[in-house]
Amino acid sequence: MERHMAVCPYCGAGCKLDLLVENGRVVGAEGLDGLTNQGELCLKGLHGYDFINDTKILTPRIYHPMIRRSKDAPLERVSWDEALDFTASKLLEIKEKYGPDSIMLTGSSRGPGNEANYVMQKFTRACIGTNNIDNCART
Amino acid sequence: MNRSISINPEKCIGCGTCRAACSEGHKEAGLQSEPRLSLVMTRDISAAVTCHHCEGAPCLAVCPVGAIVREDGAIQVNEQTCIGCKLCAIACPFGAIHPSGTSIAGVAGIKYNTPSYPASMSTLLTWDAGVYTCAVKCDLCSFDDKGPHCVAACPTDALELVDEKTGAAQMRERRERAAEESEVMMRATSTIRRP
Amino acid sequence: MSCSIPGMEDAGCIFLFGYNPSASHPIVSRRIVKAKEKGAKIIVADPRVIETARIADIYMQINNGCNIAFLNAFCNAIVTEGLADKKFIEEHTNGFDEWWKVIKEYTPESVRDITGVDPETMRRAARMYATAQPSAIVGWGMGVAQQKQNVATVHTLASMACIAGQIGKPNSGLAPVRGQNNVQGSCDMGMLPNLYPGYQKVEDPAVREKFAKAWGVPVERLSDHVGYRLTDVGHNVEEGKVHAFYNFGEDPLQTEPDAQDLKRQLSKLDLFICQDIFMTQTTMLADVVFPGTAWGEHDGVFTASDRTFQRFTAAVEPKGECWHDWQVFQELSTRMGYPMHYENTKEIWDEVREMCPNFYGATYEKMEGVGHAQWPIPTIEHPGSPDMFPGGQFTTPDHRANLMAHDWEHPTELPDEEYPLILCTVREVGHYSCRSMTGNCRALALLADEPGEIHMNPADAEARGISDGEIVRAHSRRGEAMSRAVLDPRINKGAVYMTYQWWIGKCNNLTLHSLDSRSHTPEDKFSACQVDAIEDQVWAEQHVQELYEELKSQLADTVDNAMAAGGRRDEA
Repeated sequence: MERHMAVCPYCGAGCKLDLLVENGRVVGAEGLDGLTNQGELCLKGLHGYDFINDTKILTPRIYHPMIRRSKDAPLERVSWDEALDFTASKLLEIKEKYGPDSIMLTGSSRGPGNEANYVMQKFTRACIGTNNIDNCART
Repeated sequence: MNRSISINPEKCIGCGTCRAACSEGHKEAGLQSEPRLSLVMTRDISAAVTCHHCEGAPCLAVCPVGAIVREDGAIQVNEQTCIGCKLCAIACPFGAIHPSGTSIAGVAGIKYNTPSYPASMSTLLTWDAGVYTCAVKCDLCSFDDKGPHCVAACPTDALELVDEKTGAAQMRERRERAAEESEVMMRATSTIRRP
Repeated sequence: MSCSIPGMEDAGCIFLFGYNPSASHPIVSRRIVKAKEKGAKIIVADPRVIETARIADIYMQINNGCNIAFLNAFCNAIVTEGLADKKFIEEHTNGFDEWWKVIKEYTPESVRDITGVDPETMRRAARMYATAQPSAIVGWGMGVAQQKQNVATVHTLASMACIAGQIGKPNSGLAPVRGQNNVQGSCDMGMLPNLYPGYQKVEDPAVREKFAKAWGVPVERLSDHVGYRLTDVGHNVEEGKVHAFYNFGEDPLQTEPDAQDLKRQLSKLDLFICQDIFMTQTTMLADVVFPGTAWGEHDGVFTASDRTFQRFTAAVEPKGECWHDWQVFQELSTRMGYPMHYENTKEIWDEVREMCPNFYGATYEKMEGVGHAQWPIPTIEHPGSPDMFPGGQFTTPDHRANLMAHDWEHPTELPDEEYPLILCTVREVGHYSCRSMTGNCRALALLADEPGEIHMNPADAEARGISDGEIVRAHSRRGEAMSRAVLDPRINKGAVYMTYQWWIGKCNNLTLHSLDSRSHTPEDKFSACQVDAIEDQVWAEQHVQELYEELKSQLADTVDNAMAAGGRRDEA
């Protein structure tokens, strides 16, 4: 069994834990002696890991990029190349037509972490040219 | 003396971590995943309530098929032998034993149960299609050498496994405290001047 | 937070105001139990008899929506009892006289009808808080934030700590504990329309100059004005101001107020991009769906509520064609003419450190294993800062706190004959946010599932012919939801509490989209509703299951159909 150090993705307490991995699947979580949790975890920390394994109890994980070619078309799986080109051209078109402030972005305060958010706000400010970026702290 | 789990309501924060650990541990052992502790939260008290493993266990006495036995200082239900007659649930003075079939809702690939009784009416009558209902109660995680999962999981150490040794130690401590308190009382009363 | 979570254990008094840590942060609650064991006094003011109220030295059952009136009177009591810290006020604050002009009108007696608190009890609590040794902490949560006048309430809480001298020393001050695990991190990273990473103002030309230089763009490219807030996105779409919305890892149709209206508004977008790990109600509306990696599949740093940076690592490989989120952004940016090329998260983090003076000392090396770094941490040698504002030195230009007071206003939508109950939204201990993560965990899904619970006082339930465990219909001027009634003696009469994680029991069909003028935070803690019994409970149970099944199938089918459509195109 492998162990991988992590921080619980749920509340803002910041509990350190080990994810236990067997054959590429996360099979358990154990509290580590972190600053805040001192080895303890609550029920979400102890049992909140198996969504990673795509249990499909509630909703399926998404494994592929998808686009809707027109507003009334259904979502369709496409390659990363196509999805990114489609999005880039649409965003540039909107920016051209309505200005950078017509584009709004919101970051994620859940699993992604600080680095992903930093890159997103850099994309927002340096590439799109707007300060229209926010997070869920308001809600 | 039978072993059992004791709870300190002063430390309990009602978070339900014990219930999650109980459910997961039993499920992994191939037993019903229904938690064997309930969380009682009245206006003034929060406490996990579970089986006392009574010396004169009424559940054991009423079981018509011998599915409940005393084993290694604990009262155990054999979930395979149980016929789901619910007599034990009615006999238990602590409400610590109840019939349950683990719902198949929430299992990957199977999407929902088909309730035919309102859950509010009676837990003794609710059932899921295709699920066998039997008595579930605390077994002190006898399948695991490491002991009860709830005790290990509780983040505030509100749960404790009481066996003969810890029980005796606890009682000795309490007697000592009682003695100290009565000594204080004695001193206090001795200073009262009688007219 | 001005203090640290571990430090709460060593405070002399913990005052919880609109915060239920047992449900939202059990591991913080554990510290409060420990503080109590070490002799701390516990004060709780909450409309519900929350878990901590049981172990509190003083519990005040306040009325819903009374926050500012309560706190003004509490401050009034501190001053009139002669417990104000005159030295601290003199040396470290501005504006006491102006502040007192407002506060002096609010005696505990004069606001008794608004707060519902006996004046003597409030005075006793004020004495306990103000005289606590060595320090007192006031902790709050959504009970403050998701109310009208929320910013004003925070002003008052901070002023209260200042005039009582319960801030600016170890284990003291303010403890607003964050809900989602990395809200603090999002704010640290400048996911705010007015601030760059490290709390540097977008309107400051020197800041823009610095970022433009580091990012290699002309300074004119960087916008010089504050952007839109997330809670305004619906209205901005409607008004034609916003045409494209890029939603990263959130499910606003579940978590935002008045969900029905928001759905209608988002449908009008020219381009709606969602980057998520799960198909959600929001993702279903998207024109573009980017699959990110899940927690457990990537590395990074989170910031806990008490400003503690900690690293987390990947446990398993990314699934399917999932990309790390930062890879998606940099690739999209590159294709839009602004190239970015990071190799790993450490490279990104080192750039963050360079750009944010207060984070500079938080290196990956320092956060190895169970290591951590608590900001402000300006140098590599710096030990980090469990406590803010040492010696009463604040982050204002003159290092003094500006005392602020506000008059109380009543909540926006008061109960009336048609909707006589107050609806307050709360958290389910075993579930999180929109439930896409915890709802897919077997143990957590088993412990609590649809249609969620609506907790109500037994007397209110009885008056409506509702028994414990029955499915009921809750409705408001905005919409309705079905939920399971729990008759709960801890609930104050006249109010009902719904957890916001449920699809069928979706309280945000009922909530009011009324935003505080400063923070633009919705008033989720107060709206008017009614609850009706449902005669045919068997029908209700089955109907809930049918609705649930339908929603789950829709989400699963969307993914299946998209895969099939992609496949057909490949063959053609």
